[in-house]
Amino acid sequence: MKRSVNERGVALLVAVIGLVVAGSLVAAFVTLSVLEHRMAQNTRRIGQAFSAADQGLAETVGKWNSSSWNIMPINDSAAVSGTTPGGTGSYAGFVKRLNNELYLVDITASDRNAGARQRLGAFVKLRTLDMDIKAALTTQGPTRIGGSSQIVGIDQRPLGWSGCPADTSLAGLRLPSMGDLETIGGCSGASCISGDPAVDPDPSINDSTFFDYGDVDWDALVAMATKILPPGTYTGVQPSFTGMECNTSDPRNWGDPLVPTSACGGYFPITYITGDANINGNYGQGMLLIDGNLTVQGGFQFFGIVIVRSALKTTGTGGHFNGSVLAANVDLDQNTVLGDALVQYSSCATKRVLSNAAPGALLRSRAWFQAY
Amino acid sequence: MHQIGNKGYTLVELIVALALGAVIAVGVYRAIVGAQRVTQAGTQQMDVRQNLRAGMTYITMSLRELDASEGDILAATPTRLQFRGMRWLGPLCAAPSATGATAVLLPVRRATVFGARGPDATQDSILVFRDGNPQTRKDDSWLVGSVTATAASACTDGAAATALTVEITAASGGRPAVLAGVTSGAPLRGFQQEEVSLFQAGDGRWWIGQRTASRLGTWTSVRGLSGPLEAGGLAFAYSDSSGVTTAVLTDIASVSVMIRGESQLLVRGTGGVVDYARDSLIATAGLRNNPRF
Repeated sequence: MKRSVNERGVALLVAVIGLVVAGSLVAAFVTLSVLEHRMAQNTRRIGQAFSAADQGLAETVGKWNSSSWNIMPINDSAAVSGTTPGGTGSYAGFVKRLNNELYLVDITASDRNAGARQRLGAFVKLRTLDMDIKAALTTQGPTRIGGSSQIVGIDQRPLGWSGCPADTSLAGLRLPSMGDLETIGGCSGASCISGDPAVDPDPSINDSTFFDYGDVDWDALVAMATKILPPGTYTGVQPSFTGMECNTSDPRNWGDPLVPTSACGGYFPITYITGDANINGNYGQGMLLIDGNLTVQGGFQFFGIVIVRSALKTTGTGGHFNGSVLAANVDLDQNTVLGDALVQYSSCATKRVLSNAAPGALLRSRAWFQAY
Repeated sequence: MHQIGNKGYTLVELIVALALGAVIAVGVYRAIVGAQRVTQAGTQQMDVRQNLRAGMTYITMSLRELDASEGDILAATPTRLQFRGMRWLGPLCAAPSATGATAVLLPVRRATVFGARGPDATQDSILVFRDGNPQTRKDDSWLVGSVTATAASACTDGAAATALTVEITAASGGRPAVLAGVTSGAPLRGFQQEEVSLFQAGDGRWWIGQRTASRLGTWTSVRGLSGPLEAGGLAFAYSDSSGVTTAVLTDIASVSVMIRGESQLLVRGTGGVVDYARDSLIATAGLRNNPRF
């Protein structure tokens, strides 16, 4: 077909130019939108990473691994890691011991897609429990001691325990006044009490002696308990294992003081019994908090610190405490005592328990920092 | 004879073609210019937002590390904030020792120094953590001093350290306070006095201005940190721990920051109005290092 010369024109050119202009407009919008979207996304990712790092910091401090980190050598580090509950980020870092009380926590976190990283840190100090321990046995009320009981304030390290330098001896018994003490039978004339001095009448003893521990009080101490048990009779208290691991979920596993090198040897739980307790036999370690009366029999052995809000009473073959006992009222009129003492002061046991019990907390001020 | 006139354009055709071409050219030109303006406006808007974010990030990051109750905020007005800008931190890696007449030597482990930069003897003041009785947190404090010299040194375990020669202020107890209560492992924080304010540059535009002081108190000139801003485009508001507005420096627990930015270049907006692109950002920074009890 013959092409008409009259069809020549600029329509195509105009259309092309129009498309180019429209295309450039669209391209500009798309480019700007993509850039803005990326910048907003970066901001969101940085926020997510920051939150993840913040959570890592809070979790590390809030779930302080006392049993491991509190006995870590100075300048050693322990790794920590985790993810946020919603999966919006993950974190990893370390806890480094700086001295006996201070730690550095260093956490680096990234968002879900690992597109942004944030690094936060904090200085942590152990909240050491400052217990007013000046005797093997401290009481606030009437105290009766008889039978073959022995109260010994001379420092003694538990058999098989190492790493505890000898310390000075304390009083055997500390109580508000001599008038509160009644000794009978084999303990007549306080003959079963020894220490430096044997009996220390201290009128300054008050409720704070038993229930305030430096920055921590009874309620705070109870809140730190790793085992909370109901009132009742407890038998078969002894270490238990899951394979080679210490089974810390067992309510009757209170650590292994007799074999310190076992998997439960470094386990020092804070055991809180919410009312009266009757413990019959076997052994444990750590800190034992009784919100009522404590009756012990069957030769029960405990290594650490015992605090009884009401009365401590031993019967039958009684009990054997290594460390220190604080009790409002005491009746230790018993027939037989396992071993050579009923209450034996041990600086090693008390210090180890206090050291293991201390949780970490951010420094009082200027603890937090953002690292680069 | 060959007639060539039959293949040409008439004058009318030419004029019509030129007119149509001109109309098309003007249309194309306007479309291109319009596209450029839209692109430029978008770019400027993006720049404004980016500047806002950068300025806000810097300010809030600086504020989070402050402890107002122990003197980290030095002056606070609606448009000016003077504070101790934290520059680095790290733990002592050996016990402090006396040096010179009144100074102490504080070795810091280099591997665990964090911050924007390392210690600087011409710029830095310092906060030294004093544990006192390790059994309690109630007597914990931070001693204030200034770094007068730095030198290569070693930690007690042989690791590389920077030994800081530090003069502790008399108000903090001087050298005895360090020697009696600061132990190896104690954290140190190096800081400079810093000011962030609403600042008008020589060209009349407004900026987030920043200046710093040496440890001797000599201030640098103000420089633009982020901007430009609208006139009055930076505002601070201060609240105490219960959220109530406060003018007491030591009561400040959070700072609300409002930044209103504008673009570097003028852009033509809708309706053909030529003006700067504008945006704003508001954030509140909690002072995380205020004492906890």
